Amino acid sequence: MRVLYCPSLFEERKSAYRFSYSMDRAFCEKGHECQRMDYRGTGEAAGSFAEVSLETIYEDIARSVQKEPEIFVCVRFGAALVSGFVSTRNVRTGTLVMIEPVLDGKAFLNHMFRKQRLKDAISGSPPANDEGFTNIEGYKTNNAFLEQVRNFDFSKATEGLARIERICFVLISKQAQEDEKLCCLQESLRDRSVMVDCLNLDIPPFWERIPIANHTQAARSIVDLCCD
Amino acid sequence: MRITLRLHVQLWTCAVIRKIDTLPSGDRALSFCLDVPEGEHKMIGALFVHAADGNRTGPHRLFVELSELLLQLGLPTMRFDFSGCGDSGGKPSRDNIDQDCDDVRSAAGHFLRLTGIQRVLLIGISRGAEVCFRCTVRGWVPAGGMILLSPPVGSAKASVRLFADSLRQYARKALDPRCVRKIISGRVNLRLITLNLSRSLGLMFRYKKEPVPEKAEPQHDRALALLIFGSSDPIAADSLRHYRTVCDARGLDYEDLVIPNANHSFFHYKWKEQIGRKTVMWLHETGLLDDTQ
Repeated sequence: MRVLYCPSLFEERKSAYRFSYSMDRAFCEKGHECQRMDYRGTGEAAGSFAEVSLETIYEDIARSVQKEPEIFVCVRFGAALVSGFVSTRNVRTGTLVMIEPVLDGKAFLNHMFRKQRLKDAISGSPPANDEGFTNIEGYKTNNAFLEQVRNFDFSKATEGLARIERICFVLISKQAQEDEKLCCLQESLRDRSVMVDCLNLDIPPFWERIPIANHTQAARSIVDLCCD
Repeated sequence: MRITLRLHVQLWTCAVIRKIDTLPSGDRALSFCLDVPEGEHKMIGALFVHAADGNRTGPHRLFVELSELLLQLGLPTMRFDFSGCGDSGGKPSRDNIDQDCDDVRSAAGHFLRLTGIQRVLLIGISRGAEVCFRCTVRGWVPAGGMILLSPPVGSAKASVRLFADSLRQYARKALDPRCVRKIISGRVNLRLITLNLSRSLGLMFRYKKEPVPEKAEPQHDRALALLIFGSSDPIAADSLRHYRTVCDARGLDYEDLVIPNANHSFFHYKWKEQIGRKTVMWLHETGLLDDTQ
């Protein structure tokens, strides 16, 4: 089976990278081909993050999806991005695995801004930002993109998700496990005949800080779930 | 040996040949990303050395962006993951800095073989910078130069400053309403906090100072160093003093830059841009680019 791994944005991509390696190996052990992509201006991809928009991210995913993958694995805001991509491009895929999905763009940005404010308060920051750009965790981010993320309409994305055969939710934090919006989404997808699975994992938030522990076992349990 | 298949969006500002593969270091397979400008390239190449627990993209992609700048100047670049980090096999070195030095030695050797370059420009951040320095003074790498970003120093004074700064950060976090809720609900990761604080204090033991030789080893007689610190980094002042002393003692030519307000990992894009500009200027001024085509 072909698997496409779509990461989150900003430093969450870096922190979760070792986990993506464990996922890659776990899929490999099962004989599946896992491709981990980077959007332009992120990770190891060329380009400038300052020029990124939702449209360029969808283009980048489309470019990586030369042949439609059977499994999409997405982490944190990557889940929102893949949902948006699936909806806008009418993509059909067998299974979508959402790891600790962030479906509320506004909440995601608030979280990022709070982290940034804490850092700025401790060390200070350079003189006034460039017009039209904001610093988020060292990334020069254009304000138009931030506005797109803030206004990300997940209700539209839900329509697209209903075309997917199976969606696996992997929830790690207590906050996600108790999130009412996520519960409603799962119910709404079930009502539309989507097969919905949920796996709660008790591991540290690997997207916030590079994990000290080895997450091979957690990765294997996710692979077992979605390859069942 | 397994090659991980990676997809990248190719939007280079200059033509680049990219190779992602693994290289051997002892019994470990280290993952690396090699970028070589198409056509003629300089005979000096940049090897990036990441910090503890990081990976080859560097903090907030600093290494990838610096690498793009250097490729435009005609330098091949190699970024690799230390053992147990990123896509590399094995276990992380933790406090064993010698394992990291071995990894740099192996990566540099592979870099020379793959590209035919004669000298290496080592670029390291934090612990990676300390590893670069050790490899150069030991003569393990034919280093033409080093760019050391926030190299740490193992002194009691620096440890205490780092510890106090960590406490200050936790105190500030504790004032955030979300953190208050986290504390009340008992969801605070005390183990992680203890680990961070103990690591701050452990700084004085982690980077034991190397004995200063009477004169520079012949392998690094041309090595030049650019030291870059952030003024808000609690260990910057002690570290800068230490590195000035050891560079003088070893007869290494060096230049230093302290970026106002910047922290240990330079988390503002303007600071990254400043590092990029300084790097290019320094490479031109020192002539490292001149005789190596």
